[in-house]
Amino acid sequence: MGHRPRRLPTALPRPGALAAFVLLLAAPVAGPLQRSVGRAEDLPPPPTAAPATGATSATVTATFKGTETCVRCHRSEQGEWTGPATTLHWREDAHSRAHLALTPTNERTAAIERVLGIEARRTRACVACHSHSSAEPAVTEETPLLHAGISCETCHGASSAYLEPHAAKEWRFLPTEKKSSFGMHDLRSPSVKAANCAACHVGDIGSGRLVTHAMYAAGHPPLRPFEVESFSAALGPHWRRIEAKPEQVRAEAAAAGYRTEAAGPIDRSLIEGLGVLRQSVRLAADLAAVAEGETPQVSWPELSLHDCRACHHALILPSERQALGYRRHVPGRPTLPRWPLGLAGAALRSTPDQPAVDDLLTPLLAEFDAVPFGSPRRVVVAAKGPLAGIDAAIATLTPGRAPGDEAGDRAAIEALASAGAAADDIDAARVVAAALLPALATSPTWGADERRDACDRIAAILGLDPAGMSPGSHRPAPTATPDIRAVRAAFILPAPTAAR
Amino acid sequence: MRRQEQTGWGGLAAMGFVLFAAGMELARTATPEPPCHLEPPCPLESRGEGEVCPTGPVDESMPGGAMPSRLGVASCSASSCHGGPKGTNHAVSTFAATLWMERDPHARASEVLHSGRSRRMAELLGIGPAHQAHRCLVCHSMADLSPTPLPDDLVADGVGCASCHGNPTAWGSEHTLDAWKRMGREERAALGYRDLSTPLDRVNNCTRCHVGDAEHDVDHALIAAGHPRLVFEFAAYQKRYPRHWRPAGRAEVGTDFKARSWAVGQAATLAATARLLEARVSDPPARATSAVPGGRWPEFAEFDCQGCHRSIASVAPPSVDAVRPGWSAIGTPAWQPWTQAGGALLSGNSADGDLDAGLADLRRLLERHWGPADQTRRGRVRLQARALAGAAARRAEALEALDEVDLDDVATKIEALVAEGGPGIGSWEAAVQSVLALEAVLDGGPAQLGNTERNDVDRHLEGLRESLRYPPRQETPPTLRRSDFKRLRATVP
Repeated sequence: MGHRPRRLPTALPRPGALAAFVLLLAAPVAGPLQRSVGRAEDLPPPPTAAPATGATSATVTATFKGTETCVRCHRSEQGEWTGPATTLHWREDAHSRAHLALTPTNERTAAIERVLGIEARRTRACVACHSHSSAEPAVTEETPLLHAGISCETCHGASSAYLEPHAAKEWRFLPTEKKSSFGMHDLRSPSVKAANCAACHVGDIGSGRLVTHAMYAAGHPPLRPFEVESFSAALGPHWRRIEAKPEQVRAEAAAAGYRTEAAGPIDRSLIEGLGVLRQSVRLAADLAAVAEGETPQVSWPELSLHDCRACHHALILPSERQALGYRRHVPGRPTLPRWPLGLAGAALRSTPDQPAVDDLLTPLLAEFDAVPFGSPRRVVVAAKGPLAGIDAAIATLTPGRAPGDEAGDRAAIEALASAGAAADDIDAARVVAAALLPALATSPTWGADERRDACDRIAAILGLDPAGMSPGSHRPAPTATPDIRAVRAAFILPAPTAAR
Repeated sequence: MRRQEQTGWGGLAAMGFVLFAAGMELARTATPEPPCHLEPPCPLESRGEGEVCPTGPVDESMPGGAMPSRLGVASCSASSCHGGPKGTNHAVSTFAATLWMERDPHARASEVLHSGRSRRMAELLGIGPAHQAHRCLVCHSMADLSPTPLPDDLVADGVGCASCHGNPTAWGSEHTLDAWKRMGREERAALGYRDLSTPLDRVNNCTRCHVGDAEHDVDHALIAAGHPRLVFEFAAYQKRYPRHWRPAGRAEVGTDFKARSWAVGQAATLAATARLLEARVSDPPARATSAVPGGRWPEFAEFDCQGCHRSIASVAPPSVDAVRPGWSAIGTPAWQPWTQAGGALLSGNSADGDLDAGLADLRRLLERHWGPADQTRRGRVRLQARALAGAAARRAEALEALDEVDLDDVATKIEALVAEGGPGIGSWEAAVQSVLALEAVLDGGPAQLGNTERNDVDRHLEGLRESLRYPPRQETPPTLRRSDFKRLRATVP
């Protein structure tokens, strides 16, 4: 296992098309977000400090070098981190094929192209999420990058600055803040990871990633509610957490004072839940800001900002929508998506001195009560409080707890169960369950039979695999929605009575 | 109202259409009006000028002074006035109130506010008990006629006599006098009495609640809380309305009465719809302190329900054909498809460019820009709504003034729609409006069809209706089977 990192050849063939990483859909908002990062010859020390948390690719101006440059090292059949757990596994990851969805032979894509009158491969709004060459100001030809799907650099950051330095032996145990300053995303941080996923899976104005309502109406599949931990586990991880790495590596890390992930699995889920909600709120604020701009590039309302089910529900009697109630809001006015609220709500419940998620969002949601779709000018302002509140909660949870903190784990599990038992949205309940089930299944607090019964009950009513939620198991199915009251009841956990 | 409560959200027209309760032809049996047989003779007939109505003087102790007590049905339904016993040997007017109380759902309009569904609605809206909420009572009682809250017993009257015949404060006593008989339509109207002889008089009365206006508004919040949507077609409503008057001597004897009712009804309904749109888009900001452009626009109740309330469960790729015809921008709902469908059948009926152009302009405007952000666009909607309302109202008056209304060109238009499979027939709203128009065309006058033919026609119409019936307990219309429509239409002469 003593495979050594290799230095990269000094003269790399450069990919022909270098993508300047700027936004696509909404050009005017890009300017202030661009930032220079260090270059390879500056190591060490890195010249510019970039934000270490909440960073998405939009916070730096760096260029993509292409997957080919990564594969050169990260394709070995053996080896500790250059081995098969990287590119080989990544090839099985559906993200590597994201660009194939844009080919005209894809029936759905062809239909969307026809309805919208576009050519997907040359449309920035499509390429932005389906390939990392999204930054091309105008996609005029099929560049090599367009063939790469969502590749290494989409998640890890454009590599022009860190490509050479990160091959150096001393890179490995550099502080994450330093690595981030070279444009490499700190994906071991749950909040960074959540922001990274949510940039496409929720939307991000800064990088031009937005599935508009017109795109949905033309046939784009709904973006599915997701729970970051179970989704990334289901993709087939091409990484190992530090605690799963060989003893020698852990010893070296400890000797170097390298910070390992502080948060345990439950807390990671909770922080990521807050991160996803943060992205949802930020999307509303950013879109409103663009719509309010001098030369608005988007129209307001942009319906995709809102909860799909606020409108897209069956009109049947007795009404399922009315049975859910409107929670003090004006009936019949679309609000923000409800599905991120369950897990984020559990995170706030499990954290001392935090408001309930509904209370935290009240100033923002009140805007969608006051006027249908809200007034963009006021939405920009009203989102600030909730964003600060979410950041504060993330900061509180991030330091993590001591391993083996059974009481803390139990409190987190109970917070998740309470959030499920109060859910007013079936997808919110599913996301909560995705975080809850793995934690509950292994909790020593409840007896084996109790745990299994509770997990089976929750999984059965939500149509989930008891092991958790995976992308495939979670299609929106509004026509076969389980009764929300039965769902809530399933989340009520028994008092732990059996042996610990 | 009761029927609505039992059957769902379809609105009375849809319900009447879908369920098709047997027509209540109440007054068919009436013979030429005999003299009043009451003993002593009814004081309505014999009192001299200046005498006071036997229903009693106004009650000044009532809240709001004289108004509420006079509003009550009891003011009209004394047994010696309009509340006498039913019978064939005296005038229908002597037992009109009796019939009304017995048969007319409007008499129970306020009762429905005590139902479980109404209680749930009020709870979701946070407006207190429904039977005390002004918002509900303006349509479910005569509260809109009173400047002060109605006492409970008047609320219990439902949509009473005064709602249609006019606030009787200034004519309640006077209409029993001989002088009343010598007064013309205008003099009576000046006292607040509404003459309801012609279809135009009637439809303008109905649309206040059944379409809505600034004060009577079934908006999306109400619907989201559980109120049935409003779907109004005057001729169908009138046909199914339990009559409490004798048609003889009224406009109803004309052979073109039903055709006239349909055409005037469509034009006046379109005018009311446009007026409501103007009111809604003009609604002042919810918060006076802010630059918020309008507190309620876009008002979702202006738009096609199915435009938004459609399943997203389907994973099948869409096709261009699946995009609903007439959509200007993909993913935006159509404006008032029900009224538009009716208007499309009516417009072009005679040369009236204003109406056609007004409909097309408004539709283009609303289906492209319906967001709240732009004051200028809302101003344009307001202006165009006003123009359309004016054009449609003029059209209704012109139709009413015609010596004879025939719907031959409407029938031709439907033929063309069905034959071509044009986009207009592609929606449930267009199909139902077409069926209702066919009914009006075929109803013509009473003597046009023999009994056998009439039965055939009714059977085929029932088949058409059947193909458009909502699935049980659902408010989502069935997928229209165009072939069925064609086949059934082909069998209708």
